[in-house]
Amino acid sequence: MTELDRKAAELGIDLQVSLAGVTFSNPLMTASGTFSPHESSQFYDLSELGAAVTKGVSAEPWEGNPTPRIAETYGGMLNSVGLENKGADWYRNSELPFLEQYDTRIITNLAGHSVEDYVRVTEKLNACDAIDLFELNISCPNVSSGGMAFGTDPDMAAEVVRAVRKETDKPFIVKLTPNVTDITVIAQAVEDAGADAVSLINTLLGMAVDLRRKNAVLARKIGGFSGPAVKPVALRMVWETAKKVNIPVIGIGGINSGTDVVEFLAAGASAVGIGTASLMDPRAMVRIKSELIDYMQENGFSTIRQLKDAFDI
Amino acid sequence: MTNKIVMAEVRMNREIAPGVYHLQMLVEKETAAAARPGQFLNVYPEAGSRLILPRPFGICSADPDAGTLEIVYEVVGRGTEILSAAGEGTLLKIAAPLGRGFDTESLKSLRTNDARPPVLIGGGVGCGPMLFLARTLQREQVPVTAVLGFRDRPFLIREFREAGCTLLTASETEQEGIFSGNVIDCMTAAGLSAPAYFACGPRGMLAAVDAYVSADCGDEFLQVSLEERMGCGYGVCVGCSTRIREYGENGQPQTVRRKICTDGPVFRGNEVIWDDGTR
Ligand SMILES: Cc1cc2nc3c(=O)[nH]c(=O)nc-3n(C[C@H](O)[C@H](O)[C@H](O)COP(=O)(O)OP(=O)(O)OC[C@H]3O[C@@H](n4cnc5c(N)ncnc54)[C@H](O)[C@@H]3O)c2cc1C
Ligand SMILES: Cc1cc2nc3c(=O)[nH]c(=O)nc-3n(C[C@H](O)[C@H](O)[C@H](O)COP(=O)(O)O)c2cc1C
Ligand code: FES
Repeated sequence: MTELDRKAAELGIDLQVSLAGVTFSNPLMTASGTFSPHESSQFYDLSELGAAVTKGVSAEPWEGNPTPRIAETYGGMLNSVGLENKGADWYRNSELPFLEQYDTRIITNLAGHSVEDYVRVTEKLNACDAIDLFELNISCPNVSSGGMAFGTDPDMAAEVVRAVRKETDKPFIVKLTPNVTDITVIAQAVEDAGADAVSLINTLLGMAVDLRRKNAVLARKIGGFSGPAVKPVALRMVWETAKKVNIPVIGIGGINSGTDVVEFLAAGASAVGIGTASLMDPRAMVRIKSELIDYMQENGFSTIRQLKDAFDI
Repeated sequence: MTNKIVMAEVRMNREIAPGVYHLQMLVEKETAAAARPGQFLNVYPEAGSRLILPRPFGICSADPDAGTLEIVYEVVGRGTEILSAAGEGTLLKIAAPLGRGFDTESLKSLRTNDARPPVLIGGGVGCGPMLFLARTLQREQVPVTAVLGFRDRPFLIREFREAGCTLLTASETEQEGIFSGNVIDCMTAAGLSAPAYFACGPRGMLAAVDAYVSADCGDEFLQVSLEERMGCGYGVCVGCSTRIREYGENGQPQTVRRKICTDGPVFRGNEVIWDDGTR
């Protein structure tokens, strides 16, 4: 048992949640692209995680975008990493075996430029028993073809989901972009096409200007906006989507405290993803988990179900 | 699991040249003992400052007995401005040490064949990490030549002298008693030649140093500390990626992507792709 699970147990608190037929020791997941098994494990025990969601992986290695890729903004940040990754073979041989040592669920985030790309990466990793779920990233704003293009069109989104559904019996989550007029339309489309859950939000498109260099801060000019500043947008979208679809919603966007987690659960999320907070504080995952336990204790909740039922939004 | 995140207490935070500060902080002895020249630390902005990302700074001194770490930084924006106002006793949340520093082991085998002192080159606040290296080599009784370049007023001169370095100092503006020009002009004028070089400073300076060293002993004997805008500083966000020329077992170069924060910030001159079109 981990340190924080022991703390929860001593207080009579059960953090367990289940979604898409899988149980999780607690509702806290890393958000893809802000967690790396080996590096993160230097700062906390990965068995504390409800799920470890890994960086987007494609069938073959991807180079990503030119630097600078990072800009800080008021209460948030922009990134234009562009899904640089070492490919599915490397992931299977290096990243997964390390992660398997820990007692946590493993969610593998998949990236592609085309329907065939998504199918190929699914094929390559489907036989890995260590992977509990896939997360289909159809919402990356930092690649010029594919990525977000799939997440902004309900028909294309449904097509990718159907194609991947044929390749795998593993449950999968579809990660949605907020850069649309109505996110619930896309959520509905992927539910109908066979997705087991949706996660939202991926980053909002944004920009920052460097007055000294007289250019955009990012080499790619625009990038994905995340961090505490996006929380209200994410909450609203989670609330709207949870009302509309029957599959579980994983809430992501700007979470940086135990009470932020409570807000997302209250708005209808079944679990949450925490991203930028882990850049702001490498121990954010365990700090937030501890704060969630404190909140539940102070408010007399012994299960996540009770907590969620106490809100009527 | 070693706890790299610690609270550090500011002991000194002094302006040593216009807009340039030297900060000493008190940390756990183990933290100071773990730091190697070329490594850096993250300073986390205070909650409430509305800044969110850590600020990375090269470590310019570590004293395990006293339990202190030092950095030298220039005020260039909001984060460093806030830091410059931190008085004695202020608590800073930091992560240290981070990254892979300079390889000094290879100097040992090199020096059995060639006793000429290695050259340390610092540009501006890039002199900080060089001071840590100079002090470390002094302890190992390796004589060192240091070339320090400044835009305006020089700083850390006394510290480098105390570290036993033979000093060459250059400034791009006229300053009394020091070479007028950049570090390359200064090294050329002195006819400097050495079996190994170490450098930290702006990328343009590092590229020029690489050309100089290539013509001298070969840039496989140059180690440089690179910089890039960072998101996390500990290898999770892949914001700081750079193209690196890696040499496999057969010696054939292959271009790969590496993270400056965890695979670096120190790389060998012949590994760096200077005009990789990313800036
Ligand atoms: C490995 C490494 C070591 C460094 N060592 C030193 C040092 O010893 N002394 C020193 O004065 N400076 C050093 N820097 C640069 C220093 O981190 C920046 O000057 C500082 O972060 C600026 O923060 P700011 O809020 O004042 O500026 P702002 O421009 O307001 O910062 C905005 C954002 O951009 C980032 N940023 C701005 N400039 C740089 C830069 N040059 N490199 C990386 N990120 C930047 C900041 O971290 C922040 O996220 C180092 C950078 C790296 C990557
Ligand atoms: C540096 C960085 C890299 C990211 N990479 C990915 C990725 O590879 N795949 C993905 O689905 N989302 C990626 N994201 C989006 C996050 O997972 C998350 O959806 C978003 O940042 C909002 O949450 P946050 O405000 O907690 O960061 C990335 C975000 C950041 C900041
Ligand atoms: S700064 Fe995040 S990986 Fe290097």
